[in-house]
Amino acid sequence: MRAIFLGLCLLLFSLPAMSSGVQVSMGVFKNMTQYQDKDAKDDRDPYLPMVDIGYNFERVWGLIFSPQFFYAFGSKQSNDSYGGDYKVKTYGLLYDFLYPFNEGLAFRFGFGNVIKSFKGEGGEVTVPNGSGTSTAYKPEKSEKSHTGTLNLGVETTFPSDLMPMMFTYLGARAEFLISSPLKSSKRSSFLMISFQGYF
Amino acid sequence: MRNLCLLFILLISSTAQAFILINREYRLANAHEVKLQIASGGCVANGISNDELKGYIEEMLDDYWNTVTDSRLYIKFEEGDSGRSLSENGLPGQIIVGCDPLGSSGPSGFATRNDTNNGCSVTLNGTTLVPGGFTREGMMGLIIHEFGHCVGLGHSDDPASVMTYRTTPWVQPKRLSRDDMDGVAYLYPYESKAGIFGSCSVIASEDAHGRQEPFFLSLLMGLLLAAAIRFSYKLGTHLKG
Repeated sequence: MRAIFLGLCLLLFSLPAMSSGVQVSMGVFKNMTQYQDKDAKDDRDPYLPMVDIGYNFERVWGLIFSPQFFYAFGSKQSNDSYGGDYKVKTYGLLYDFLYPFNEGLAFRFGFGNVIKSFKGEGGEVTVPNGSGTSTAYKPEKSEKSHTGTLNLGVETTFPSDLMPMMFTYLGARAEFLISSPLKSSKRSSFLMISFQGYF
Repeated sequence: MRNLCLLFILLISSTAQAFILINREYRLANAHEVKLQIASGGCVANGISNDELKGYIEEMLDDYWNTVTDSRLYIKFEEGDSGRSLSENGLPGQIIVGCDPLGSSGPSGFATRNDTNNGCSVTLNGTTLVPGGFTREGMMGLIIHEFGHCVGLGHSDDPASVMTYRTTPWVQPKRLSRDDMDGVAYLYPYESKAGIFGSCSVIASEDAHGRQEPFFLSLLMGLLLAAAIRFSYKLGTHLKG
């Protein structure tokens, strides 16, 4: 599997880029899911720093295929003295297409796979239970959850006059990743806002 | 610059949540379609009809435990008496709920997991849950908490969590906490082999070695798509030429 993957990578990226190119982004990632805070009020996760790398292919039938890999930085610490700290990593693959309206503005759409990885510190803990106590467990092994997303966003690009030696184009992007789009009870979304440079 | 640094530190700083498991190995069987039924007799002897109990249960499922976007857990209420008593517990992938007198000084309720077949039962205290003896919000708080134990979560001392260990009267939480949601996602993650489609697809099982490679399959599918597009482009240019 990995050999096929590497072979395809080499084949694809060794071809001339033409109008397409590698694109690197930095920005923020926000999980828009609402949850209850300790004061029983609605809350959401904070904006997490994010990096993203992608590649824009040639325009075919008016569309530019623009796959992306992103990674959002963030971890969790315990507010619960029983549970202990645990780490959450969020990263994913987006299979987006760009539909350019004009030279500088494009509609971005596609589908993706957002992966959340959980890992706790492990171990046993004694918790109150009824009139006594019982043994409970902190999360230990790593678990990953894969969530399908429907992606919709806009992107703007302009020639890089500021850093012509480094990038050919600069740009900005805002994109919503709608998770579980077909299941209303579980539907939620992620927001990505980033600045990007094309090599 | 200083403000930018402070903003960056704020962005990467950790938020405060955690979750705890009631058992390392326990998971509800058939997590993508757990059946929930009323146990024989339900709470009818307490003056709570099956329809009233169903109303509480459906609200609990729709607004709480079935809302975790990155988890495959889905509990479905099935009409009718399960034909099983609370002492028999649920069948694999089944939760049953009903009332049993636990005494006026007994717990408001408790969950009994069947660690052998991965079913569960929720027993509500039939001594105290009588008309006029409880509020709707209190009943909701209680069943949300007890079903959290059936899901596999243990007690928390985070006041945001629905799994908070309470000595005070039960209240209805507004939503699950981040802690609760992460716990459900940890216990019942989506493991789709076709990871691209995630929650839209079937739930695949692990291979013989317990490995999952959806991430690489996703990459492969994306690369194949890219190769197809590049080939179409080359073909189009060639034909025009």
